[in-house]
Amino acid sequence: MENKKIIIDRIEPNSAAIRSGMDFNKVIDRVAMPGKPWYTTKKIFLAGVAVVVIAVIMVVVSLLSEKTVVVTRPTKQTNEALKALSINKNQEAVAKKNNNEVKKDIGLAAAGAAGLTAFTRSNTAGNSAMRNNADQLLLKEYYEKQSVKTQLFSIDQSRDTIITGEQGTRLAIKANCFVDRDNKAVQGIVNIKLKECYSIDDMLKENLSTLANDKVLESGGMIYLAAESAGKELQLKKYTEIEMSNPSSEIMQDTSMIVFYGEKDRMGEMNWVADNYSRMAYPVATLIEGKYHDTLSIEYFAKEFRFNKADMIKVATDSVVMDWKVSFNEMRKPIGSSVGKKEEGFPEFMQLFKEGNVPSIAAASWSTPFRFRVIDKESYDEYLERYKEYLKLEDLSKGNYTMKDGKRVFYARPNAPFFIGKVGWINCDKYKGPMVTVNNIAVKMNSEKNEKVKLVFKNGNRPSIIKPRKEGELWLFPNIPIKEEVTIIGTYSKNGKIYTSRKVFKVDRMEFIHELEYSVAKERT
Amino acid sequence: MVVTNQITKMPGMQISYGQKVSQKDMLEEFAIINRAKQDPAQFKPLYEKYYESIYRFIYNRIEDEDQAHDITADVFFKAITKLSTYKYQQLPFSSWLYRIARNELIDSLRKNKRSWVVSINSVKLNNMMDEIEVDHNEKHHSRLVGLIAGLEGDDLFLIEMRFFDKKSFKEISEILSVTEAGIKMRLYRLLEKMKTQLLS
Repeated sequence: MENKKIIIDRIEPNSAAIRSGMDFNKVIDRVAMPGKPWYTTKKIFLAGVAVVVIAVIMVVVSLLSEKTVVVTRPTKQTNEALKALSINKNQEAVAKKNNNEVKKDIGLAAAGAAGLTAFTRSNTAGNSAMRNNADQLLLKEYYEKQSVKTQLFSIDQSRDTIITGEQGTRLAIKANCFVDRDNKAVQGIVNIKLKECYSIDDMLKENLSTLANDKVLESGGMIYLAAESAGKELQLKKYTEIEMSNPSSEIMQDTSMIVFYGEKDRMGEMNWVADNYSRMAYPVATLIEGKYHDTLSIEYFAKEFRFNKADMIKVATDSVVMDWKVSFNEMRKPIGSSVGKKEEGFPEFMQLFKEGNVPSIAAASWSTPFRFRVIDKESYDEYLERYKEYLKLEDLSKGNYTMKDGKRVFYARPNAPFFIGKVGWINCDKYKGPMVTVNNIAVKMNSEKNEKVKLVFKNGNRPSIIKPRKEGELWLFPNIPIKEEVTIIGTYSKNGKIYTSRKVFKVDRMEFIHELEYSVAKERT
Repeated sequence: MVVTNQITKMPGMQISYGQKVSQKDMLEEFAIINRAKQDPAQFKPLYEKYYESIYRFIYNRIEDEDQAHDITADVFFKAITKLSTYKYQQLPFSSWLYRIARNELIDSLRKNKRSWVVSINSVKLNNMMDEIEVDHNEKHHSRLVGLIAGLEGDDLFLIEMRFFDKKSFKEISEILSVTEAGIKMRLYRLLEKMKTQLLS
């Protein structure tokens, strides 16, 4: 915008003059120009759809014919991995000693190197599908039977309540924090369901893993939290959080541990989604002019300024004063520095707020001398102490952050609770640190299609549970740190029975293909 | 003491910022857009609804009245041809049109090497002076005009949209493709800076 021209009080043309320049037909003609028909894209799209439909029909016809040949081709990566296999006799002895069965499957390697593994499937697709479904269901039921005990609590919604689980989870629940799915308030008794999973076994019973979009997490424990009242499922009211304390003081001290919420995909596998501000409370919005003080509800700031929690926390710790002005409309005289004292009008203003009669900020233009500053809760508590002596206000934006490379880095205070904003599966986790020397662990797939395999690190009391990806006929766990003791756990169901396998070993520098030995599962007590 | 949030509008209050479009209207617009995606001629009601406001938006930023009509026609041409990319964001359709209008304006002025016009209304300038809490006097008035003239790019656009076009933060964020919180922070800092310069 190099050339600018300022015009003061320019006379705009009236509506009639403007509308006289309208010509929709001209626009439409231009859109439908011969050189560029607008419907060209549509024709191409329809042609594409037709091609796809024909291709699908051809594939279906070929699959329904008697002889069916399915050819799988391992990926190039797998080929490389197989070619890189090298098992010397010493390693074999060591492996056997450590109860690791390493198979030098020349056949498999050769087939892999050739790039083909062929299966022939006869036309029993219908029976096979039914059998697979039954096995899947059996596997699902198996997990459900193994699942962790559900603890039940009944609380009075009108009071603040603290719940303590059998394994030490502590939940501080504020009064009236639950609403139904339509966001309507709920009265009376609310039933809370709690499951606690702090051990690997418990996490495996619930078919949980510790991946957040394929990033490995170290878990400080998982809980499942649900609420219901009179048969209706409840959720937490917006901007309300339950304060959770983990039974381990080590986890509470570790401020890099945050809340991850669990979302299960269609296959029932858990993915965790981080809440980066879950170790910090919503800040308190308070008026800090002179001797007056009062607080605004978080709902007000969230609604009026469209602030989410992250925004509020950032604003609270911004050393540049974020003095959001709250203004009256034209019915009150605009108050500027030239009019009256700053304290004038405050009691009336606060009265209007309490009555809920202050207009939406986005909707009007007005001004007052009062400024609201968002500060973090700890600073507000300190401020209240000082307020009692009517001290002059200092910079209250000292929040929990530090400066690094000129940028603010936010952190939680040690022993800060975990602030939970929604019900469901909740994980106290952190991202696993960078691994120095890693290796790929490959596990040969069982021929049963419903096999589930997981790899577990102990990490002391912060287990990581990883799902593999498929690479041809192998389950592949990439980037596992060497010297780490891991357990591979496999499960599948067949002909009405559940089979399980566990294999414990230390990750070595050499690549191995592991094979699992399965046996019929015994029901756990 | 905690003040609970029961925000309601005071009777008789004028809405100064933001487009007066109800949820029902927005959904009706969305229905028209869906029809227009199949048949561009169905776009006419939206063309007639927003032509004037888009024209005024453009007119206030260029010198030539005829050129304003041309650019307005370009805006609607582009809107119809790009309708497939429109996503309903619980905002009036006009926000999307303003975004196209802004881009067309910048392109046109650059191509034709014309000046960007800043149309300042005295009454709206007074409102701005109230917002930044400076006295209404001739000296501040002329200094503020000078400061506005010295703004560039999105800063100028932000001031124009907020104080002269009376757009809400949400609309401005949609037009500039920036978060609403980002817009507010940016405006706040800009106003503070302008106030300091005014009073120095």
